[in-house]
Amino acid sequence: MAPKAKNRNEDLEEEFCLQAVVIADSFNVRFGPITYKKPRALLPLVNIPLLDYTLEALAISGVKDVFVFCCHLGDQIREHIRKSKWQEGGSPMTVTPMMLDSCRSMGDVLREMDAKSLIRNDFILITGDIVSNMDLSQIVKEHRERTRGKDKSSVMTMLFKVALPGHRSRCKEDSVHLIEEGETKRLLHFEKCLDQRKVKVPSEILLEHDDIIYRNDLMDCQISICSPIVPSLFTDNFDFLTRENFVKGILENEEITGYKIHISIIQDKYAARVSNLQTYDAISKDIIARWTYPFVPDMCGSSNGERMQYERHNVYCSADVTLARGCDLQQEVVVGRGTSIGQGTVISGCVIGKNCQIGENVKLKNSFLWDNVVIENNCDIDTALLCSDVKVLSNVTIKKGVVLSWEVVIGPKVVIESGTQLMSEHQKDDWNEGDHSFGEDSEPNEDRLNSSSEKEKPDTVKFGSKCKAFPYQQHVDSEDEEEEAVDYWGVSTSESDERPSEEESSTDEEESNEKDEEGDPMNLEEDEPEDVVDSSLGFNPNASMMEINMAFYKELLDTFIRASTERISDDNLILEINSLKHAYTVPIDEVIYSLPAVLFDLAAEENQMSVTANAKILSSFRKNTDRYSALLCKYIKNVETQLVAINGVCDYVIRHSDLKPTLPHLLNSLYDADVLKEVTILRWFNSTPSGSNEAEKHKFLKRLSQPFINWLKEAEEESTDSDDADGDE
Amino acid sequence: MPAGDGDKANDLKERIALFVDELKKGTSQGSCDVAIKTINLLIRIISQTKFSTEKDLIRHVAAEGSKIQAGDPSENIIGNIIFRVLKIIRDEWREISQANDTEAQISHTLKASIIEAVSEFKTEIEGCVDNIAALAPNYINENDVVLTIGRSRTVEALFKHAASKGIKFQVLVSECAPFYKGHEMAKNLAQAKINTTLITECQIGIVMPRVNKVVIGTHSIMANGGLKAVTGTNILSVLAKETNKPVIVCSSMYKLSPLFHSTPKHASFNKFATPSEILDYEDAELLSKVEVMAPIFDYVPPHLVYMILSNNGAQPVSYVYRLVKDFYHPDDVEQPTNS
Repeated sequence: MAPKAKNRNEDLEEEFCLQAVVIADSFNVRFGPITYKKPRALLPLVNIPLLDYTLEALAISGVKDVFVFCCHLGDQIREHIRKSKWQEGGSPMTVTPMMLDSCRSMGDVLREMDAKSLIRNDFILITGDIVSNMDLSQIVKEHRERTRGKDKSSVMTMLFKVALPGHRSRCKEDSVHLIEEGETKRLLHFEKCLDQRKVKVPSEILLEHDDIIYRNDLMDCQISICSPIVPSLFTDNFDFLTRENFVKGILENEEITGYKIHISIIQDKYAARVSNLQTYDAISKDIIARWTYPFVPDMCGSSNGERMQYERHNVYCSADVTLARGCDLQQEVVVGRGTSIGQGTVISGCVIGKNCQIGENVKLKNSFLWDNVVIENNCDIDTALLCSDVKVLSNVTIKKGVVLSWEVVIGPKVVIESGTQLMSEHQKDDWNEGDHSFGEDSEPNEDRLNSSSEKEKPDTVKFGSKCKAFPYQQHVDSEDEEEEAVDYWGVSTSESDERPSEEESSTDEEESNEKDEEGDPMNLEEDEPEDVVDSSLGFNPNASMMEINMAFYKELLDTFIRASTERISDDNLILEINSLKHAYTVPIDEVIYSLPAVLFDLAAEENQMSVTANAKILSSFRKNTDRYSALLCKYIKNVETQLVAINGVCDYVIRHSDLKPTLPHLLNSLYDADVLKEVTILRWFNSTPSGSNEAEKHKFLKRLSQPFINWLKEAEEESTDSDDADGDE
Repeated sequence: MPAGDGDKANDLKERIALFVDELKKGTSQGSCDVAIKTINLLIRIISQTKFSTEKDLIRHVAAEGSKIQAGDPSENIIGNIIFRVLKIIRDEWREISQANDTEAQISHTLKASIIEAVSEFKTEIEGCVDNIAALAPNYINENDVVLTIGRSRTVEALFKHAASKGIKFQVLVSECAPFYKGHEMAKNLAQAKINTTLITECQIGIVMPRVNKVVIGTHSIMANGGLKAVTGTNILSVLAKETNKPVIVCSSMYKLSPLFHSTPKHASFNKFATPSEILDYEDAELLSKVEVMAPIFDYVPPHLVYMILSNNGAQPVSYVYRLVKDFYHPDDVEQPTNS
């Protein structure tokens, strides 16, 4: 019997044809105003659509069958694949687009895949925005050997590349801590970390394994080799949304299911994922510096008829570019075909697409211009992303981190503040990435928008007299909330040299701001066009971080009052709060945001007074925070939620103007109750929010909380030694 | 038989795509391999083309050739082979059109004779390395100290042939950083029982005075006799010139290119590899501050080269222009394949 079985195995071995699954959707809105018209996989990276890099990487890995799963704007991807060289006769691999309009997460796609049972063998799971020059077949072979050999239960091999923290291509949101078993390269622990100082390691790992390596120097390439069982595991566990969920789920249930995950670390080769603007920038630079060789502009451009010339200082020029006398392409520049550049223009660190027109005396630095962009004379652009058909009229200055979406027109003679994101039509409330494009009818539809027509007009003061530009505000579905974290591209990267710590804090503040604004469609209208400025405060006090549901708030307060009179235990109280949250369908952030305010109102209620800066109320507030500190800690767990809570306190203080002097006291109470950590408070204090109103407000709050911060800083200096001792334990 | 034709055309496309992929990946085994693969493809292309005049055929072959060249624009050998085949087509056509009168006759016999001539050329290429190696006893003497750089299959064959003739000599191999092909070379020579020493590039200047001659391979020879050879060859040749040591280049004739090096902007002259051999990607701080260039080739000006050892015997560098005129037709060259 045995030899026969062996023969059959060999036959199978020969039939083995490598399959790959490309998820051509990100299921998030990192490329906010851009991806509403074009899916992320088709965005050009150094003038070539991202998906092409992924497919090329699969082609050099010897993949025969590729399934591209398209969700958002899938028609465009299908059309792109239809026209690509993979559909020509003689292509070494077949690329099949699969349309899955209804899928909202990677988990959905894999479940769908399981239902269609497309996968027969080990396969490569990859997203449609990977740039790699790695021959993956080697790793697939390793994985196969492992699964055929001693570790039959291995279901996945994840790829990592060494890149120390702070590396430009290392996506901050995807930063991971992991523990591997030394010899077998088995993954034991995997955790995403935004930036925690402390790491929790399950003690079982330390007890059960002799040889473990803890690593924080790895960058997740988002490429994995999966066993055919993986899609069915996703079907079994319908709560797996992302690969991270899957990995964690497998690791946690390892003892029950026996499935294992291994890792593989890339040597010498390149692989990275374009997951946000910052990595888009970094990976573009890597391509220009030829890390992705052979996928560099002068070598892959030639396949689609475009010839790039490579010149000194990493300058790539297409053959038919018009360069005026005296224009200076300094270094790391890519210029696409048909582009003309005027006299006295200085360009460095830029990627310029096809048929762009750049005027005279323009300064372009670290920017990305896609196709057909027009830039008139004397503009100054630093670290910006300009999509196709953008027009920048003369004498415009664009500061760092600006994104101009499709067909935006700005100018003349304006200064665009850093971090602005503009789109060419008014943002509609019901839009998010999962929905279908509305790019067809670019005229704003009057019927659909109940806001006044005045808001339909672009802000000519801010964006110039001939502008066609509307600010973009991020809308996020509450489902995505845990993933929501946006890197503040441009500003953070450029300042990282001078003050690394503050840079991070600003990123976090940005994150929490984005988070707070979710589910608040009115925010845009309130903030931008009207700009009601309270002269005494210097900012608009009504533009609070979060619109709160008053009915919910009232109910929450009542619950607390009842709890304190009836002495309901914490556990039951938590249950009640959670049921309230579901009853009113409020996001968890709103609960956190409301909690400090509720506690203060409770204190006032107990003393049967209105909300004033009364010593009695303050002391009972302190008592309340101590009493409920365990409960608060249940909700306010990590940095983000702490920031939300701080914002809650601040907005509460601003709403009740006579409470202003008590802000330090309130923060102190929460700090003493171990609800807020000093790191978070200092981060909040040092952050710089975007938008003039926000900035003013923050400045005001900083002034208010100064005494407490001073105290905190002193205390920190004193306790540094003891902290060190803690860390050693 | 349209279906059969379609299959054939698809098959050809697939073969071209495979070869282009291979070029992109850079996994081909030396220039002889590239030359043979190109010529095989060209034979297929010619045999599948229906043509009435020689112009049609030339246009078609040039167009298909440019697709192959696109796989690696800096690989001159592909261009050379295409130009040589075009020249063969021209010559054959002239001969046959003089002998025959009617057009139908011409195109009928033309295909067969072209394919025959191209196959002959292929046989010539296959024999190149052996032909050159056979010259070894004339150029490598007893007790010679020979310096070489990197790995060249031709040079390796030459040394092995000399050793097989019982000549005792010493070879110094420069390792050719950052790709370290010299390591492979030294290993192969040592296995053939040749007295071999591996040195680094910075030692070239030190050993040069006690070297008798420098024997190197090259990627290709430009039309002015300059070399396109692995990085490090230029400094090696300069040092050899300084100490008056002859630089002997072993190169098959198909490596002779009708193009000039001319300007530093020459699109297809050099190739720049990934910086990963030189700089660690993980080093975040350095990465954004330095610009790393990793050119694969050096240009060696003709006056540094003593002679070329080819399958047609030894050729002086000053005679290269004449060879270019013999091998290539100016009409083909003036219109570069990759435009």
